Order: sequence, then structure tokens, then C-alpha cells
Amino acid sequence: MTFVATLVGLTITLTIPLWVQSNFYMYILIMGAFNAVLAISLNLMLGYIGEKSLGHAAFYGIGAYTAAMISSHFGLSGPLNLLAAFVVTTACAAIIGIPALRLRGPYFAIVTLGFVLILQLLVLNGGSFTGGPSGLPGVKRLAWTGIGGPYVFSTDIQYYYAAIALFWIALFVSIAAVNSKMGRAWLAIRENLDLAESIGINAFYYKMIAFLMGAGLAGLVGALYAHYIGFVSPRIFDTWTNVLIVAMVIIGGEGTIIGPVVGGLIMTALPELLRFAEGYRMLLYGLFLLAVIMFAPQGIVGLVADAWHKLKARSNVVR
Amino acid sequence: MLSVEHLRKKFGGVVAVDDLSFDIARGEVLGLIGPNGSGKTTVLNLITGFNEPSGGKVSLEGKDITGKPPYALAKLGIVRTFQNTSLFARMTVLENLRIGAHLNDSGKPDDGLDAILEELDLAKHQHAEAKSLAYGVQRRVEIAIALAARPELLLLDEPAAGMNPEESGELVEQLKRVLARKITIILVDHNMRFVTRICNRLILLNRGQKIAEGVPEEVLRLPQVIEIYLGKRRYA
Repeated sequence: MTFVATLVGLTITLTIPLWVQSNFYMYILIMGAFNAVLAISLNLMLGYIGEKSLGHAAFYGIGAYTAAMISSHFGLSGPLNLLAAFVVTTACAAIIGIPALRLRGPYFAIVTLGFVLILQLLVLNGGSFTGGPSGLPGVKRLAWTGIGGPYVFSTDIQYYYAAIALFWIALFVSIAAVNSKMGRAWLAIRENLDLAESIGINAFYYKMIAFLMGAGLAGLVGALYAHYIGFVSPRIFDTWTNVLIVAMVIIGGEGTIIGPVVGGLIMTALPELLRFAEGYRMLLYGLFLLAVIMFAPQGIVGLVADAWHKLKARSNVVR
Repeated sequence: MLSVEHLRKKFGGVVAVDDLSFDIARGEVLGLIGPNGSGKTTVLNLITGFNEPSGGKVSLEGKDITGKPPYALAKLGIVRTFQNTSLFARMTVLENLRIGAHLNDSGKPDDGLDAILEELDLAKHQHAEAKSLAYGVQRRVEIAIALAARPELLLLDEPAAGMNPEESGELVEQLKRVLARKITIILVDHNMRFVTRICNRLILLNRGQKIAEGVPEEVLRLPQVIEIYLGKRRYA
């Protein structure tokens, strides 16, 4: 079943550019893939460990700014930008995680929220180094100058495939982690921290791995986003970005593999689907979020799974 | 095996454990008894790293382990259960045990789990979600999780609390099967009948201090014990 689903998913995602010609829809699909990876990356902490990380946009932003600054200040726009974004983001996560992940209670959430606010202030006041309030325009297109190069990512289709490659990598990494001994340790920590520690699970170590993995993935998305859009601004650290990433995980279904993917895609497409409502668009958007949280606290994937189980149970009774 | 020397724990102005010393030999079953608030659970918390002592020392095979975190102590073979039911409620019994076997690096995570399920009469519940089980069964699942961690020293915090006489009688038989594993046990419980059927030695605590120690028959005859458990007037 999983193999078939993966095969169908791969076929659909790889062939989409053959039957979607509109640039607008390609943009939505690319942003959908970016958001799905962001949600997958946060889900490791929020869904599997159960730690409320409220500053995930920080890592998205660090990745975007790292790639953009290397491009603006050094004129580079190759794999080094992506690698640097990944390294700088995970290093920042380690600096925050080492003290914060040792704490119990709401402190981790508060620290992560504080971190993103501090970052936004630093970027706003960073002068020409960060571009200040105006941000950094003119981020170069991603390019490969190695073997077979030079190859510049200049079209939406190229960015679509880059985003989809990252999406599948994130999904497979997440599936492999969750189904490993590490994944069982994550669930144990989420379900009962004291019991988990009493049987030899080093909660700090396993939380740190999830936090670094999530931050690294978010950093990579940020870097790709910067090269795709060609511009980064301090708005990337906005509270709204944080809320949006958390909402994507919760709406889709936290602690599930497919939930964040569904959440990421819905939260990207919904504002566009609601354009017909013009002035009432954001009102409808808010009502949708409220309805999902009220009627499907386990997220859309949880709602569908529940309905499926009930249907299956009913059909067994009829037989 | 385990040595506790002059252990002390203060919570603000309250002295929960006061200059407590005792040893436990490998294979022994030691019961910690005493009235509510006498410091029994605090002693377990101090030994297993859930609380940091205000003073004193805990040694395992002569090595100082005072203040080590719980996961590090579990790696050394010290595993505990908790006073309040503590399990992975949304998982099946077997999944609970698999997580309990986290430290098993043999590449066969299910190794030995069948035997634990049999010893604690849990085999028929192995695919049931833990939270759906009766209270008495859940308490046995807790012990099974601890056993899956392959302890050398097992600390049981009121495993029979809230059980009816029939359930606690069954637990005695199940624990006797567990004892065949030659595990060293420290047992905290209020149920004297339960404790005396399992333990080789008892320590009576009152207000954090050790006031009596010896084989169960001797300790239970001590006037202080009768006074604490039955009351002064009745004893007089």
C-alpha cells in the first residue's frame, strides 16, 4: 500500500509540468512544495516529540538570508549557498537547543518565539549587511557550475523539480526517522517523558536530533525560496509566518507522515481558492481554520482516518 | 550492590529524607515501608535520579552514581516504576514493551518480550491499547516495561496500590516468577501483607528517617511499626 502510494505520488509530482502549463499554478505548486517541507520539518518537533516550537520561521529565514547574503556579498549562487544555509541553520538551532531543550514545560516554546523576534530585529537593523527593512533584492538564480555545467535554474519548471526533490528527500528522511529506533524514542518522549527517561531514553539527545533535522530542512527551503523569488525581507520572520507553519501541521494532522503535506498544500492553495470572496477572503480563511480545529482536532488526516475506520467497522457489522 | 550513605533531601524547609543509609545485596528484595509522607517515594526518586539529593551519596558496585540522570542510571541497570500509573497509554502492550527494550542493541528488539508477557500474565493483552486495560493490568504493564529494559536493580513504587486483595495476591505470584530472573528489587508499598510475602528485608521510614530494619517478621512485631500502622491507643 505504502509502495503503491509512493509510486503514484512520484508519478504525479514528476509529471505535473507536462499537464500544468500556467505560470500561476506552477508558482502555487512550488510554494505548496516549500510549505509542505516546512510543515514536515516542524512536525518532527511538534508532532513526534510534542515540543511546541513557535519560532520555526527563524530557521526558514536564516536559510533564506544566508543564501541571499552569499549571493549579494560574494556573487555566488551554487550548491555552496544551499550547503551554507543548511550548516548555518543547524548551527543556530544547536545554539538555541542546547540550553532550551534541557528545560521542561513551556520554556522551549517561549525561547523559540523570543529567538525569531530577536532575529527579526537583528535583520531590520543590519544595515547593508542584511539590507535592513528593505531586505535584499536581486538574489541570483540558483546555478550549477560543476561537471556538466554551467546550468542556471531560470524557469519555474526547474524550480518546481528542485522543490519536489527537496520534498521527497524530506518525506523519506521523515519516514525513515519515524520508523527507526529514534522514532520510537520520539514517541515515547511525547507520550510520557518521565517513563521514557526511566527506561534509558536520553530525551535531550533525541529532542536535539529532531530539532536539528527540522531546522536544517527549514533552512534548505529558505535558501531555495530566496533563489526562486530573488528577494528576501525581514517579513519572513513575521509572527504570521510562524503561525502559518504551525497551522499547516495542525490542520493537516500533527504526528502523522502525510498530515503536514496535506496541511502545507491546503494552506498554500486556500487563499488562492478563496479569491472569489474578495474582501471576505481572509475572513473565510480564518473560519476554515477555526472549523478544522473545532471539528477535527486531529487534523484533516485524522478526520479522514476516523471516517475510514468507522466505515470499515460498519461494513464488518453488515457482513 | 547498591549503597546509600547519609542521604538527605530538603524541599524548602521540609526535610523529606534525613540521613538515610542502607545497603542492598545482589538478588535481595528490600521493602521500604512507612506512613504517607515518610519519604519512601523520595528515596526512590533520589536513587533513580529524578530528584537531586541535598546531601549524601548513592553508589552502585562501589561507583558513585549520585545525581546521575535517569536515562544514564537505566543504562547502568537501575530501572523504576512510578507511584501513579505511568505507561505509553495510546500504544499497545507489545509496543510499550518494545519501547521498554530501547537499550537492547542486539538488533532483535522483541528478544525476551514473550517471556515477560508470560511471567506477568499479559500475553492475552499484548495487542490491546494500554489505556483500554483494567487498572490492575495497567500496573502489570508498567512492571513489564521496566523488565523489558533488562534491569539489574528494579525499584517498584507501590505496584499493588489500589488493587483488591485478589489482584494483589495474583501480583505476588507474578512477581515471584519475576524474581527467578535474580533481579535485585526495592519495593515501596503500604500493603503489609503484599510486602511481607515478597521482601527478604524491610526498612521502616518515618519522617524521612530510618527507624527500624530487619527481616519482615521482626520488623512487623516492633512497637513503633504497630504504633505507626495501627495507632497508639489500640497498641496500648
